[in-house]
Amino acid sequence: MTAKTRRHLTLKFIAKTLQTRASKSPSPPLIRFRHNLNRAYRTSATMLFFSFFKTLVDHEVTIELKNDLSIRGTLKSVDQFLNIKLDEIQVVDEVKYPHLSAVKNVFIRGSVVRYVHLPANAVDTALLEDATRREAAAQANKAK
Amino acid sequence: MSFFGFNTTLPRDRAAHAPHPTQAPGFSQQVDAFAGLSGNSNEKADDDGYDFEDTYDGLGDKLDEGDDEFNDETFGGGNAAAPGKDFDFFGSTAKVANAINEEQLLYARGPKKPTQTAPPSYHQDHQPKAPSYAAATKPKLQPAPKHQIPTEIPELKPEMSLWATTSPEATPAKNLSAHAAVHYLHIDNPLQEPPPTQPNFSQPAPATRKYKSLEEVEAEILAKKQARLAAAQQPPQPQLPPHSQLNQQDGWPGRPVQGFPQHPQMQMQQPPLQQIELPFPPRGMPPPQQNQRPPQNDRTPEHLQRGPMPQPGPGGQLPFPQIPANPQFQGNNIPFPMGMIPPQGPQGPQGPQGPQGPQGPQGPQGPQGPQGPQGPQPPFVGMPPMQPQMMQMTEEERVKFLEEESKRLKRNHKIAQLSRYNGLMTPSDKNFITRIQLQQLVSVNEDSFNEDFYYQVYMAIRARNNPQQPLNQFAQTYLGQQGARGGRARRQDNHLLRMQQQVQRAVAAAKARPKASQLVLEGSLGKISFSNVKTPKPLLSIKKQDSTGVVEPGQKPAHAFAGIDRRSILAAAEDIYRCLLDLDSHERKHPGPSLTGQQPDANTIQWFEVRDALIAKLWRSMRIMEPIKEEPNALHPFIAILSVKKAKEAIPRVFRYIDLQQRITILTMITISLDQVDVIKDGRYLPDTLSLSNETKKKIEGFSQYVLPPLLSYVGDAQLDVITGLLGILLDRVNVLLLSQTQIGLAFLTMFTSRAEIIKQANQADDQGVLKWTQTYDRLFEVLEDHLLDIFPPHGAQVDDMYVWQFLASMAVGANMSQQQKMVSAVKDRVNDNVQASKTLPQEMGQHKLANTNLFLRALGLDIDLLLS
Repeated sequence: MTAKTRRHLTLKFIAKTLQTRASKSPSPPLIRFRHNLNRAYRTSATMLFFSFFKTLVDHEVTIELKNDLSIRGTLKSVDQFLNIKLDEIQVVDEVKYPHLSAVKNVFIRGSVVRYVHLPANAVDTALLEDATRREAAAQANKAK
Repeated sequence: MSFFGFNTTLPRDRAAHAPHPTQAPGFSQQVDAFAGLSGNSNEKADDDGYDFEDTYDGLGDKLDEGDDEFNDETFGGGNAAAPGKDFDFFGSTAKVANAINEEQLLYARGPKKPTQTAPPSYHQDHQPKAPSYAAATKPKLQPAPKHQIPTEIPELKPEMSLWATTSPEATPAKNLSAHAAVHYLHIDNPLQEPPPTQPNFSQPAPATRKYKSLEEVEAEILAKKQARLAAAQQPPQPQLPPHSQLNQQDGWPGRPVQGFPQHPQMQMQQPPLQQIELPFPPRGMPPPQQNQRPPQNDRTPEHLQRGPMPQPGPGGQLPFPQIPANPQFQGNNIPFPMGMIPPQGPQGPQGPQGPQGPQGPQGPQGPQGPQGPQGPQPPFVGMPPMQPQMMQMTEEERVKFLEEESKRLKRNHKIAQLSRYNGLMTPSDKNFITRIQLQQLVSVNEDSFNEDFYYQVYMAIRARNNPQQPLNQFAQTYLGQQGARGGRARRQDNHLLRMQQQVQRAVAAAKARPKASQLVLEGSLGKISFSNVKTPKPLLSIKKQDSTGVVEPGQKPAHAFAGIDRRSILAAAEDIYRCLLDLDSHERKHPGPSLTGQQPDANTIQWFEVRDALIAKLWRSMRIMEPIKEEPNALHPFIAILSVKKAKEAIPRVFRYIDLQQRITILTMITISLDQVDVIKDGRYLPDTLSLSNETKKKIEGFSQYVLPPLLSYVGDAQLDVITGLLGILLDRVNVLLLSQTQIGLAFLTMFTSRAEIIKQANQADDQGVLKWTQTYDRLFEVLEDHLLDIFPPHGAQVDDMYVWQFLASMAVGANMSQQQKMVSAVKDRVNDNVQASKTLPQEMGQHKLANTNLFLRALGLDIDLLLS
């Protein structure tokens, strides 16, 4: 992995409070994006994620599942449930999951995703902040 | 009008008929029919009809039994054909939805009718020779609509052919002949023998050939060709006389043939015929053959029906021409009227319903379902209206009439084809789908930027940055949704646009509707909401307090800015961003570049007005115009806000919108408060520290990355007097020594001096301005000349000190000879240090250091190479 060439950021979005924390930590090679799908379906926060992930199509991402399985592959598509289609996948810990070494592409149900590791250079953080602000504003309007 | 001129209506009949509208066409005729019946009884008893009751002898009881027998069929019991595959309750009801009330009426009447009809049949058996009876009773029995006339003839014949060959073609006859009704009566009455009635049907057989003419007629109707229509209408007319004769034979001469062996098929076929005509429940069991037929024929006719229905003209007019003929026929005992009259009878009660009336009750009965009853009538609709009228018309009128008729038929046919699948979806189905579609529309067009902001803008930016690739993904998604380009989408766009407008109107209307769904009690903590079907939500909802930070920044008075606590600073920064986002989204609505020389249209003007308002709001949100407090440590709100990174990041975006005056205001404000700006305050190298803290480094980086460039770009265009003034302010109000020891402070000084030097060298300033500048410069130099070494960061060997050399270079360029010498002597050691350090450092860094130093040397007219060699 091209860990060194990428910016190391951990973004955690809490749309409501609009806090966007960016901290540089040396270890994780990619942006970590926390799914909060259980209750987020169809809320605009999900729509923000959906909108965001759409821009990552054809980029290489690493999906960390809730069962600790990590899959790296090319993001082919994502839908409003944040289901994810990966191509040319590779399991990060192949020794532990040899049975997956023959799998070439997967469809991952959005609800089983824990993290998505993103290529930092494909993320426009300023724009993402703006998008988050818009979401927050929209939600505030809705609440009124 | 009884045969003998008595008022022969039975008391109960009178009661039954009383409610009927007298103006309904054919109503009077119906009364006549009953008069005929009662007339027969009168012959016997010479009395008012009470005698008839006396002679009745309990036959009525038996009648009731007969009704019970047929209840099975009526209500789908026993041997009635299995409730069909195409048993479509909803479809049938939907089709006759408008007539549903009348259907109910008819349905209620259904059971009564058999009892009424029973007496006539009884009499028929006993007094077969009463001529008026046949003519009079039949009309009453046949509820079939007036339109039957033309087709009547063919129908009789098919039955005959069936009698002989049992061909399925016979069944298609949808019109119930009077004979069928009579036959039906016989069947109903258990006392009477069924066989005698059947001969009636057998006799019409000779007329079979004419059946084909009916088919022709139907085909022609379907084709809806005017010429054919004319042809079709004429044939039936000549046929009528023969037909009437046949009927006459059937009605009465048929009697002797009572012993005739009963054909099973005949029985089978009769019931369906009855179903069609009679509004009351059918008694016969429709054979499968018949079932097949009706649907085919019905298709188009079924819809044709509707066309004529609304027109009162044909419905009301048609029967009338026949009426005059009717009495005559009755008098002559000619059965011919049977065809004509019967329709009138039923019409009386049905009134405006027209043909649809019978559909209701009949629909559910047989396997034919809804189609059965509807089918037969339609074909008549087209034809019958014409016939009576045609006779009276001139040639011209006739042509005109036929034209209109053909048009109508054509239209009906179209409707028929379109509505073939009517009723497949329930209204709620349609609503559901419509809602989905509207949702889609709204989300695609209106909310695309709200819900899909990141994607849209990201792709737009990428497309802008990389013009080679934009038409790939971007065109498919972004442009595809906007759809504005590409001629193909234009028409769709139109639809979309219209739909969108409709939706917007609907949404606006919904919003405008006041919702009094909540009740707030005085002094209560929450409000009580009345739930309705759509929002069965919480009964108690806690009122949400409006957070003060979210309030419009513009409206917020200055003193509301609580101070410099981090939270309010962050909130203020968010205000700026909110304004920026509003402006951005407003920018996207730009009406488009107006052609030069053209007056901007109203939209454009309005757009600019809104834009100005938004910019003003943005300006207020920056709080830059708040007065500067004179207290030593008071921090101006703008400077306080600027300490946040995100506020720094917003500056370039703000500069895009504000005008020159506002820019210089910002620059002045920053300049005045420069020693309070965090990057300056914390930017000094404290004694005993090798480097700045990480946080300060980041701040400095942010400031020089976001704030300085827009300021620089402004200064780059500023006039010399502005620069002079700014530098003067700096010297007057700010501790320049402190400033000089920070990176940002030096950057400001560099900015001013270099710009002034450029202006000077370009001779863009007058002597007065240059003189003023030189004075100011001298003041600056005086302050700094003894501390030139202090401006270097400690341990400069490890730190990138380019900004220092840049400053020295800019100073050196503007300095006179003596000043230059002072500078050289002051920093000489430093230059040498750098040259030495560059030799020990890695080559890359060494080169960098040398280049930095060289900046200064070159400004003096020297070069680093001289020192190196």
